Amino acid sequence: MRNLRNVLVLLMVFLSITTGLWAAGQQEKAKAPVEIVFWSHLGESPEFVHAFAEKATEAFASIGLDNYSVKAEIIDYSSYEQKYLTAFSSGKGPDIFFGRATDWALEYGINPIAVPFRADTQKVWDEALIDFMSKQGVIDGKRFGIPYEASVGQMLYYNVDHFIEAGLDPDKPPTTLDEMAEYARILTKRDNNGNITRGGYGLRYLGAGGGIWDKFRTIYHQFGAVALSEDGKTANGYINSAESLAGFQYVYDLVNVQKAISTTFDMPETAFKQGLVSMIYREPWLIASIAEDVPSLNYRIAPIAGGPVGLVAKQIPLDGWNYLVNSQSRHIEPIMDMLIALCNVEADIYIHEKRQTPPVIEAAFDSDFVRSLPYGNVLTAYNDSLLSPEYAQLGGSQATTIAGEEFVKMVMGGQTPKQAVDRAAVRMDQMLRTL
Amino acid sequence: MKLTRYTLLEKKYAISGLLFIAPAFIYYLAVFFYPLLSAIYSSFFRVNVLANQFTFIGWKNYVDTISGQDFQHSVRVTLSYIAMFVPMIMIISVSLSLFITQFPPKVSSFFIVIFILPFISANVTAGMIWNFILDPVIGIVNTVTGSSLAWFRGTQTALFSVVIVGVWLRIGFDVIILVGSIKGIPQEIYEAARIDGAHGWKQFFHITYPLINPTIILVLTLEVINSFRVFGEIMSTTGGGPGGATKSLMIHLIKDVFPISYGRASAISILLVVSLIIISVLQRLLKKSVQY
Repeated sequence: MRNLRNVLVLLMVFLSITTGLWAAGQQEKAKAPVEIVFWSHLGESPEFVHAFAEKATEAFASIGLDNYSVKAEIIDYSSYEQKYLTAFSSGKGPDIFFGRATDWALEYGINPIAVPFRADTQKVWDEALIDFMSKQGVIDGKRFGIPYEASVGQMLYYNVDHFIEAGLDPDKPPTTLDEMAEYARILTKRDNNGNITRGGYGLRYLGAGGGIWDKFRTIYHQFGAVALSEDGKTANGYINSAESLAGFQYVYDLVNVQKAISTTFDMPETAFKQGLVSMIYREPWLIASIAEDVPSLNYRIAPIAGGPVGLVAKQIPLDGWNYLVNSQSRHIEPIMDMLIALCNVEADIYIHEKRQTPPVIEAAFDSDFVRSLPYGNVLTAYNDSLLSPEYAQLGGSQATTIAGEEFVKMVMGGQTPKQAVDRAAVRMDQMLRTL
Repeated sequence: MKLTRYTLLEKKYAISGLLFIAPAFIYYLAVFFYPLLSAIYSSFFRVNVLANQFTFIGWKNYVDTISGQDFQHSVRVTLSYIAMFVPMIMIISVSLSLFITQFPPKVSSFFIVIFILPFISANVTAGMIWNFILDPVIGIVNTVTGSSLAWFRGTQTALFSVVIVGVWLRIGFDVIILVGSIKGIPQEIYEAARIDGAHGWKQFFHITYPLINPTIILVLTLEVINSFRVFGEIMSTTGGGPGGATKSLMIHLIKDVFPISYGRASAISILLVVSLIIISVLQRLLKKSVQY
């Protein structure tokens, strides 16, 4: 009996120690650092990318997950799709990534990997987002991502000194495409050999076709053109319509009639900062870049010029960029909790201050930051304007990339506008049929 | 049957040999053979890599590929690249090799080191450097010569600009092979030729060229094969642009097809492998016919 008692006591002691050790181990495991990897291809705004990671880390801490941190990694834009796909295929993809919901959403995207938001997370963001951004990242009623900025798309940047030198009034930037073409002609300067030394308008013709299309469509849509059918499956009859041809012809004339575009300068934003072009279309992020690189540049910002259909188009692409969550991530639930915590005005403003772009939360619009943005006039002009066509359908971004390539061939003198739109139609339809 | 000691020894050596090559062979299987089989398999399916879905579609990927305008354009660009690149690199490498072998060994070794440096540098680095050199506005070439050529930014000049980068990168490799071959020619043959009154170009056409011809064929084949796969120098300079002017087969595969259709990308890969096998076979036949 005595021996049995001793054995029982020893057993209880052993169990207590073992349980204590196990519990301590669990606690240690729970506190082990967790690194959430975030990939973005916004290499032109590294502070913006890291600000998101910083605020996301703070959001984790605010919900008691102070062992969680978010690490931002910047991926080169020109090959980001390949890098993403390779990483996801091998199971080594990031937990959060920057991309188009229409490309990556589970069940809907060409390469389905992004998980739909949890119901409560979606509810929080649906209610918080400013109205004109509320549909971005949403497919069939499911939210897959958070828009990265309240996109106003392109704005007109113009060099005030060039305007004055050319005898133009800098208080009266062009408001119509006809005016813009005329201004571009007047602002252009040439050397003795006829080579353009200063372009009146800086056109995007370098880089990926998608980026080229993105800038061109700001002009293209002004003619009432649309590149694809509503279901996104047909380009013929749309990209080669009369309205579409008019859009291509406009730029073709800028190159060959007004002769206001150089095809040897670097990217338009670089050429603008160098003083080599007088007007460009670019998004709000360029402001921070100019402030850093060329703070003495004397420029202003205006709404984009309107076209024949009277459309002051606000580029609110539903095929825009979002913060997406990888369905392979082992931390989906904590990330969903973090995203709820991240939905606050302070974080939104902090992040967008780095890039000088509009925040996405409606409440943040009534802030000193938004009021301080140098393009308040643009925000006002765009506020009630019509939305431009979008290409959020499956394969839409890939199809319009092809249109961008044919556009460049035309700009470079390799084909006429008619040839460009006809070839684009054939190639786009061929690509769409393979999906 | 009772194995002789000699046979046992052979067997022992054979097993040892197999064991020695086993790591390399396993590596070859894993890195080359398995992916090749996987690509052949995938090329007959519509593949969604992330969803791990394979839908059998037969030859459709091949039909879509061959009939596709984008593929045809990329083949034209690749062939144009080969047509410019191969003659240029062959002429330059043979000329340089002949020039280098005129010097004493130490001097010729110095030249070889100079020429091999680009070959060991990364394609991306080379692209960045040449982007600066050939920048139409601030590049040193246009600045010094006063030229207004667009180089990488013109649809008419971009492909040739990429060829320049390719030649710069590869020249060292070809020179090393050719110099080795030229130096392997016995000097007595040249002495005998001199006695017979043959100098300069006669020596080259009647002695040097015939004797290094197999090496020339080898280098030619390697460069043709390499040109079919041209990718790095294009990606780091033009990215396939402007307007698709430099969109080679590999650029088309990686940028256009791979992100949206893994099956079609596999089909293009297999078509490329088959083409390169045909070229290799042709090279063997050509080598046999010109061997002295």
